[in-house]
Amino acid sequence: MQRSRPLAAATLSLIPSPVLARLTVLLNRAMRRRHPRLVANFARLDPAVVHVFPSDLPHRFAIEFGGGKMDVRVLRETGAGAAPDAEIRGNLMALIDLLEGRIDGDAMFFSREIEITGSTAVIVAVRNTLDREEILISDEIAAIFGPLERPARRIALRVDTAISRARARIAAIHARLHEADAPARDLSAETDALRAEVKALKTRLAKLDVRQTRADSAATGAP
Amino acid sequence: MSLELVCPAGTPAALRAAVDAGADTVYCGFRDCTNARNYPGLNFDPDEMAEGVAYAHRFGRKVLAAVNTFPRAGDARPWHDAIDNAARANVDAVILADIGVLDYAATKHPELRRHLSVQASASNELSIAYYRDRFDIRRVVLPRVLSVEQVAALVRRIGIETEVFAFGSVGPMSEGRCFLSSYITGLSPTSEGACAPASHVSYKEDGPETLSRLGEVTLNRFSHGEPAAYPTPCKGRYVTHGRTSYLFEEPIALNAIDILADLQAAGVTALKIEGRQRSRAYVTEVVGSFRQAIDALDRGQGGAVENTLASVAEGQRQTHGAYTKGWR
Repeated sequence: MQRSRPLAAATLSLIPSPVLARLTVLLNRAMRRRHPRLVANFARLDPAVVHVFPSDLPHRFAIEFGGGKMDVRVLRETGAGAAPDAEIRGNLMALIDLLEGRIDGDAMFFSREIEITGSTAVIVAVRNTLDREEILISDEIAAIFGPLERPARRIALRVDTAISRARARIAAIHARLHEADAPARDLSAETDALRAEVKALKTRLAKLDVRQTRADSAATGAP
Repeated sequence: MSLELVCPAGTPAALRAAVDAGADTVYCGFRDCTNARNYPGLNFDPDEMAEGVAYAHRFGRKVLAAVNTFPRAGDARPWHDAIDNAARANVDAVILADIGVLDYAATKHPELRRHLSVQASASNELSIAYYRDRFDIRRVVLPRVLSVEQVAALVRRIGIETEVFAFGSVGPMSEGRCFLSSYITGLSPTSEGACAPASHVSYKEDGPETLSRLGEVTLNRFSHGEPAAYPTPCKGRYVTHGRTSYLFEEPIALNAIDILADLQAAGVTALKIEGRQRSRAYVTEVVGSFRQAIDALDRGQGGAVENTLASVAEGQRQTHGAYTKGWR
């Protein structure tokens, strides 16, 4: 299975807001052309606005859908405009993986990799509607280039590979430099957990003792 | 005989993912209150159901339609339509719980195979025999309350196929009869098809903790970094006798992947993966793991497949549930 590589994150973080806004308009058009069912599914939901906050990008996005329409746009200023029905926060790669159906949204939420606030019904509807469609963001971005789609895709793949390697090297160096910063184990919590476990085992043992005593009594006829 | 792998699909994409990952059978529901996973944006319209069936049949796999909620008084039409649409989509069987819906299906579509949903909560020989004899059900989905020995005893006596849960959420042991959620939301899980409906769920930051709430009731609080869970009332933390604990059920996933040989020896026909409300990534991962485990079992190498499903398990924890519990 193909994967949208870090190119998306690197590119998006470098693009100025006005250019990104224009690209988002083109992306909307491409999505309507390439995924009409996805757009129709969003359009049939109850009207809502969701703000998406990639934690590692200077940009914020709004998804507006329902009441027969669906639109993605770049937010000009944080906090500007009407309050959204819900917000999603997480790093861009996690959000792209989520969009592409590559990772389980519930698992990410349960492990706190993404955070949501606002209407859970709206978030659930967005998650389920996106999950109905097979999307590859790199393909969608390439589709914006029209007749130049294939060369754009080849260049993107090369850049992606280079960025992935560079990121891996930087991550390894960072890990070595900051070994001492690893979070300390929460010994207090571990002790509490072990204490609770011992208590539960003691209770279970006591019950087994009672059961055994009863069984022995029944076998010997003792009262 | 190889265990049949029955897998969930909340969307057409998840159905294709399940088939591609090795499901023998996929179960799904329509986009309304007639199935027990009625969440926004989820499920199939009649055309999507027919397309999904065609896709599965192309690969020699089966599709089951869950119509497993209970009709509201005087309003059985959605359930009857669901049965008619399932038959029209050429599904391989319908999964039903309510005796009125069972009767409708048996009368109007006698050729359509009928399975008894776990929502019927039939867990003993007499109960299952009633559904078998009255409605000619061919398979029963057993509630998650039985030990492997009890499953084996039932299989010997009931004379129809059994399907048991192998992975997914652990229920409160009263499937089809639980009203905890409706006490808080006013919406019945058994008629509306959603326990703890998303419209009533909220998460709120409270200093270093996150509160998960259903309606106006806080069901749990998590410190940052602690795995969170969807707030169903049965998995809330409550204070009783001065002690805070998971009173009914803990957020933990059933995982029977390493006792498949025991379930096969018990005479089980099919293994059910729970999770139509989960993503297609979950479907791909869980179905792929169980496909490998069943194939290994068929080659006489049971237990050879490593269990790697903790990351998609609820609460990131796993249990054999009642299969190996001694409390019964």
